[in-house]
Amino acid sequence: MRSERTTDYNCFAWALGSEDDWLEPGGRRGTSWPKDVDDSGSVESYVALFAQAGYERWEGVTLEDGYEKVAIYGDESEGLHAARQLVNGWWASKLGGLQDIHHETLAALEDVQYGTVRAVLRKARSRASQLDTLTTSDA
Amino acid sequence: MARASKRDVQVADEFADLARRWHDETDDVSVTGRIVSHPAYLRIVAMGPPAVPLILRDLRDNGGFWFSALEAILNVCPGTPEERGKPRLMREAWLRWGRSHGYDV
Repeated sequence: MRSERTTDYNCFAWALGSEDDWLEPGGRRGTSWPKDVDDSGSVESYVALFAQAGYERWEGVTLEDGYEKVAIYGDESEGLHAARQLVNGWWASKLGGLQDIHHETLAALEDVQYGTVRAVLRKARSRASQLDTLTTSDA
Repeated sequence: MARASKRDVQVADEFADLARRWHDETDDVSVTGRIVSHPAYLRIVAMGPPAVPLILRDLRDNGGFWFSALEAILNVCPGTPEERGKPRLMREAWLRWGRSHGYDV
């Protein structure tokens, strides 16, 4: 575990670098969602959310130099979780309102709660995020 | 100081059991639709106004998406539109509301 438990933000916000938002469509109190992004709550709507932040859909989950990757978990109807890849190839997940954890494989979190990995996305890693991720993974 | 009535104790015990179950089974969930539709959460909403001070204390101590429950029971929603889009600000708005209405939170 790498952080205190908190409901101040969820996994989707945390994967995008925010610790101040609970990103979820639907307008429920305490949540937010960009106006111009698909608000169905499906896996594809979360793919669109990350695409707006510069991510592109990608097939492979292996570590690629210069890229950061995000995996979206879900079921047929909903996006349920997001994990982001660390520079050592492991993955980091903020578990709902609990702490964030590091896990070696994406399969480690596939279950009834989060469903299965439905999409993987990547974007070029910025210098700042490299430093951030190094700090996180070495903590 | 007034002593808690037998009914107050029953309400507090029932709330504690339901809230523990709700936290145990939803604290790792990332989408609020599943969090606020949990059976224990719905039973707490059905407890009505006697649950409000207990909800506010749990919100203060443990966080969580109690906003829908409070709004359903009280038919009020504190906070500015900006505060309503962030969990931390929404929690602070509800605790401010609670203190201004005489709740010890």
